[in-house]
Amino acid sequence: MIKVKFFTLLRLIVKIREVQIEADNICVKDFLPLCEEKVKVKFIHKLLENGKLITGTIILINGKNIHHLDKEKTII
Amino acid sequence: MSYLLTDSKIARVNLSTKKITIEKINMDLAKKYLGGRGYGSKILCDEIDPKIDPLAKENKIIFADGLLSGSFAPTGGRYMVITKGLLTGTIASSNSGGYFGAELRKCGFFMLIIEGKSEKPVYLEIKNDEIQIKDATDLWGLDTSKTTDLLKEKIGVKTAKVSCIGPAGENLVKIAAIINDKARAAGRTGVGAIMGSKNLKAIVAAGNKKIEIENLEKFREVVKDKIKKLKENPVTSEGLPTFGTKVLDNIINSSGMYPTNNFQLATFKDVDEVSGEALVAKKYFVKNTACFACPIGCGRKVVLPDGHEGEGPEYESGWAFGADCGVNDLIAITKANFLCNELGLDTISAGTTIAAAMELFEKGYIKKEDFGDAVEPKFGSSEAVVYYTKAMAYREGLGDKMAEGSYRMAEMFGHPELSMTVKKQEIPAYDPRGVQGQALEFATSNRGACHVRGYLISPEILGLPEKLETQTTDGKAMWVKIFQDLSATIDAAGMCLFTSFALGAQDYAELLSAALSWDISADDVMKIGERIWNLERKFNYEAGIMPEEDTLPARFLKEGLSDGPQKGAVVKLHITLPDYYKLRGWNPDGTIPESKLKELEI
Ligand code: SF4
Repeated sequence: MIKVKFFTLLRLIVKIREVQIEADNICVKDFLPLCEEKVKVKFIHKLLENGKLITGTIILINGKNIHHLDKEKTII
Repeated sequence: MSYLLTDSKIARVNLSTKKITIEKINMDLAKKYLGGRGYGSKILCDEIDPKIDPLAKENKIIFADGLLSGSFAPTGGRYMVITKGLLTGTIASSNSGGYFGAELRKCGFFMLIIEGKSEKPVYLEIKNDEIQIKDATDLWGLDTSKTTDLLKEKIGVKTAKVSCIGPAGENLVKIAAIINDKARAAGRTGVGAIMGSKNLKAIVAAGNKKIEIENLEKFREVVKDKIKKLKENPVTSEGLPTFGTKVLDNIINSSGMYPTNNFQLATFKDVDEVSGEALVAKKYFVKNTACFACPIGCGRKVVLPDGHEGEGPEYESGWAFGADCGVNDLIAITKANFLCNELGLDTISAGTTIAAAMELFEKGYIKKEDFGDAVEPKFGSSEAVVYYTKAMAYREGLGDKMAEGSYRMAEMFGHPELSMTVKKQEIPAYDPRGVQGQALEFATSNRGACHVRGYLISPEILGLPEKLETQTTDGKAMWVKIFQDLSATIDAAGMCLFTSFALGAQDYAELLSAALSWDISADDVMKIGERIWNLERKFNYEAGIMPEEDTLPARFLKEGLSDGPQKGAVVKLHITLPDYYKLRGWNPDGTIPESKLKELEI
């Protein structure tokens, strides 16, 4: 089970503070569509462009920024 | 009609002799230092002995517009207050937005140099070219809001702008601010106390001169391009307008560097109650507000359930009265923030001084007899943050010790190590252990700990212009130098630091060149910033602030972060500081060699 918390603009867009999603051993890029499906709002375009992280996007996994892990390919 | 630079004047007002003289801008100095923090600091350094007592009548307080203030450069309305600071003993310069800086320019003034000391309370009335020193006996004791309203009435111009002190400045509180437009603050370094020491309550300005730009078409074109960049950047186009700086609460907390309980913890369990998102969700946030010529509009108009309205809290202010004091009550936090605006206090230093008192109390160093029947200064107490904010401004009870700032207060109780300060100024809302670059910046800032002297959070946390790893020390000295120098130039230009999320040195060079018909390159922009930085450092050295003070409280150097994703981290200043001195071209002991001063033509 992966717990996702939405902050700042994303929280305004999805109108939800957090969701839990059943998934395991999955990379960020593949996980985001599951999130979209769960919250029923499109938001991936705010984070990725052509499948790559947009400058200034902040995705933290347990407090670590995925920029310093494997970017969008980081396994959650 | 008034040309932006060539027609602007400098007014020298002596409060002892009541003599007012008008001077022309020295173009050579303007080219070397621009305005605001640059030109103003140069005047201060040339005209006062750095060793003087900040409260002596020989100290001067300078209100200096940036070179672009009053033009329609994006955010071009800012001014700087420069003096020798009471809190730190360093050069103190504090920046503010709102509309006062632009109004000064509309009166035809670029800078006011205030000298001497009045025997009784006075204010300055500026109506276009005419400046008068007037009696302020009836204003003394009033809060900044009432002072502003009354002065607008007295001058008889509804659109007049006021910069003033509240009771905190009058009472020489060492963390007193100067407030303009009721809610914008030249907040840090205690500049309000210097104004109070001169018995100068306020400056009211009303001007109607049209500011002309020589090559208007070119300037328009450049401004349009910069506004486009600001509108395309996610932080300046969406993040700041939507949440203000409080966009940061959850980000900084999740990154494990949101100081809690006087920096004893790095995460706050109740962040969701006090965050920028909460301010919107609880419907306290009403609308955005913006400073002069600002296309970003990060200000927040807030109305509390009891009808009390005002601006703020910003991220730093909300954190200082919130997590740092362990308080999860957004209403109390906002009220303390409003009180700071009304009484004229620096929100960061006020909140963090209360937090230090709370730790002193928690550890048993502040005892019941120290506060008597007043509110217990204990972590988590909403009542305490509101009560002691007021007590500080009026120097009542324990508030009298707090009015000295957290360092001197903690020293009075025998534990200065519990004051989270650099050069006696309180550290803002980022635990330095979580960001090695920002930690170095805090340690070396020329006015004591300060995030707006170089906002390394931008690359280290927000990933702008590129993402730097928080704990690495490699290259951090270089980033700190770049950010410090660029910030100095932005201040001297009269623009808001927030523009730097989207704009770089080349953009500022283009704006300055187009506005002034000068030929300024990106390299010049960085060189001017470096010159200002070294000038300030030289002043501090001559004032007796030694390089040994380029450090942080022991907590950050010795005790690892106690919680959060960066648990165990300490500041590695022993690595970054020597790198920094070398990169700045200073001696290994942190002093500036003559050759450097010569190279920078200081
Ligand atoms: S970004 Fe905010 S602080 Fe800066 S000029 Fe605009 S409204 Fe003022």
